[in-house]
Amino acid sequence: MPTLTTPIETARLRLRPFAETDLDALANILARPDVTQYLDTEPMTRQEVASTLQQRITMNRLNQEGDNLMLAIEVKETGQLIGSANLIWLSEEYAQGEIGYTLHPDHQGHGYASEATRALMDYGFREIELHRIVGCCDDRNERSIRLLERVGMRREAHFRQIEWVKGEWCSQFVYAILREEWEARQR
Amino acid sequence: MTVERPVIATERLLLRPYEERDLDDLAEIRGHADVTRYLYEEPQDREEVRRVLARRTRMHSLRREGDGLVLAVVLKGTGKVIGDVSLRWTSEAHRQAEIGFVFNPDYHGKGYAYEAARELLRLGFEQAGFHRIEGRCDARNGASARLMERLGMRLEAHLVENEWFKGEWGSELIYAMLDREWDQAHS
Repeated sequence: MPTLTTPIETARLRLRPFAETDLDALANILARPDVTQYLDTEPMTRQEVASTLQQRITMNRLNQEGDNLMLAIEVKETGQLIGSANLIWLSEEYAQGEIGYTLHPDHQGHGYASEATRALMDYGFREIELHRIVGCCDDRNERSIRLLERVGMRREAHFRQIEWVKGEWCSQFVYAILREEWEARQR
Repeated sequence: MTVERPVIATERLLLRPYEERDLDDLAEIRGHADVTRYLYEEPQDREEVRRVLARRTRMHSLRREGDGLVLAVVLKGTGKVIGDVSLRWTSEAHRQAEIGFVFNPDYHGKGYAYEAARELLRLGFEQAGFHRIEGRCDARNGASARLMERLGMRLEAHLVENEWFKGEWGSELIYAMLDREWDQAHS
């Protein structure tokens, strides 16, 4: 299965692998407490972002189970990096994947995250031939909940107090969509 | 907290780690097509059961994350093993565990599974100190689902077609209970 050589293009966005030149833009996002609020990471220092970026640059393919395709979201018109979207190949045997996304707060509210997520789901169902894609979020993360519902996912799980993160018990929603449900939405 | 070779007596049952002499009883259980219908395994012959038993006799304690505890359920007065209950320590940081149970169909309908599983939940919450214990079953496995409901566990998830299971897509239910829910029900 493919290394992503050609960016994925949507109406307004370009999804492409990370590059060395993305450090400033990525630091702008991952250093913000409002970005990491519902993630299990803390806001990052520039040095931490630099090492995260090195990792992300290599996450440009879905060759085998366990691979995580991590793409930068760029606004086509301006070339500005506004966030990231990723697709994890959870299981080859069961053809399962998981999507994730992070968006700079200044660029939220324009539907960019759902546009990027839809494109990545499409990639997962078409190119990797996944049967099911899930998305997980903290049950207080309203923005993420709305996004997962907007792209057509069904709430399948509410795991209560399944994690102890940053000094409190956290609960999690799991959303999912099957390939046939996805295809039905494209018609 | 760790759990070391527990032995638990209930009104009608004795729960204790597996022993080599349990081969005949375990073979009777694992040979049943009814038993393995919703398990990952197929019915097992005596040689396979011998290997399974050898593994299980070593699963007698919970000492660290990842350990699985399996207790044979003996019907008092007969010495016969009519099933087993298990507890797997899935996360130390989040104090999570997973419960499981398998019973000989010839002894179904008498509340033995409930009687045994309840004591394992008690051990998990009161002795091992878990915060949350979950149980999973095939979505078509009504008997298991009913047992978990009777135990006071809540349905938290219905994962649709998350596994390819014995030649078809399988769906899974996840039930769970928190320590405070256990305390409330048993104070």
